[in-house]
Amino acid sequence: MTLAKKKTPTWLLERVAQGELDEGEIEELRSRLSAEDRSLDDEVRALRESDREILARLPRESMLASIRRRAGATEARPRRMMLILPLALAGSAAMLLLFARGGTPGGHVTGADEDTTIKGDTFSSPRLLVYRQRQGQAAGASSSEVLSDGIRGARGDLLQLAYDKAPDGVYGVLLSVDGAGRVTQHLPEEGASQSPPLTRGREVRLPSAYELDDAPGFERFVLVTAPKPFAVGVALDAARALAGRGVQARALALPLATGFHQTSLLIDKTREGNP
Amino acid sequence: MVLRRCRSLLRSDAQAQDALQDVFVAVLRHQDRLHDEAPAALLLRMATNVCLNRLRYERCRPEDADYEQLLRIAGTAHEQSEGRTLARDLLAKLFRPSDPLAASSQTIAVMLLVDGMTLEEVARNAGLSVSGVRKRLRSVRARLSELEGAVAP
Repeated sequence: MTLAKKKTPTWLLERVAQGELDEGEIEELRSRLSAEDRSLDDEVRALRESDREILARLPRESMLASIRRRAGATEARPRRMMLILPLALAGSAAMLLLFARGGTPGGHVTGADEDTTIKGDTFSSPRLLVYRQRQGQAAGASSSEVLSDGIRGARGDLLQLAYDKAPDGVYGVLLSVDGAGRVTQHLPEEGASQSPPLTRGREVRLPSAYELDDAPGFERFVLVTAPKPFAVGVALDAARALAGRGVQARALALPLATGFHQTSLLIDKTREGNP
Repeated sequence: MVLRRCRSLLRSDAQAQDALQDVFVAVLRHQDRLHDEAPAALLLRMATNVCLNRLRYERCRPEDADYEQLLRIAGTAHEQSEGRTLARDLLAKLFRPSDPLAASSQTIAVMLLVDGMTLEEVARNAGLSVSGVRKRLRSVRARLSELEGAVAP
């Protein structure tokens, strides 16, 4: 159907922001927007900024209570659905997958820069921190910045991974998935078979830095924790399964069973250059 | 994302927040039927359906004739004035309350005329095959034929 020259639909931009379109579709959109003197990067950045503004002022607790009340008025709902709901409401469409597929029932995911909590949940989770080293003006001088979820990154960026606010008796594995479908284990070091106990309370930086390579699209770090030790292979297998889903690995949770907590931070490498 | 979609189709932030709740109530109620592909597209479709239901309800109330909002925003998807005018005219016919289209066809019409998608984009974003969209467009096409020579879906 052709009515007249049309603007690139916002609908499609929303799907890009949710990591739902493949690279070919993204490039096509980039070209269309360019022809309209618009930038895909700018459009996606504006949507994410809008997300932050909405989240800051939306009365989430009262809204969630109202939704639960209205949905529960007709029939009883499974608890896992109720757990995921706050995250879906917060803007993560990928959360729908979790309860639709049952892939991560009872587990939950938070963005590292968005301290989303689930009311009534008693399992307190540590925070994932990613620092990027910046070279200073003076020779040898350097500083670092704390990265937020979705920030731009590029090949050669030197990253320092850390966690903090770990409660007592929590065990964890830190890994990353990249746009080439590769999975990298950061904590514990390769060879360990069990998740180590995390240091309670204080910030802990991993002993070695990590340099972003030329993998396309993204690098996503995921801290998986549980209140008891678990096999590192469980987390790695879940990460490999997620990595096989292409661009969806940007947003979806690792397919883990009940009892795990996941915190992730995405570094976006789809744009050229450094931030 | 859902709130933005509702805002774009409704006329107030308060109504959009109500619609947002409607969307997630529907998610909770129909979770067993949700598919695992393209959750953002699914949420956008659900938001569209919820907003259209609200607009239809409003139009049935004589004290509130602001259903024209949808017709106004139809023009925003088109850069040229004739495109805006045509889209508004088409929607006015497609959504006439005396003889409404099926809900699925109305949603597809909004994706075409308000969002400015191509037929192929509608198919991809509605989770349907192109032939499936064409099937639903038969009723739309019947209406559109009233505007002689206007479009060729």
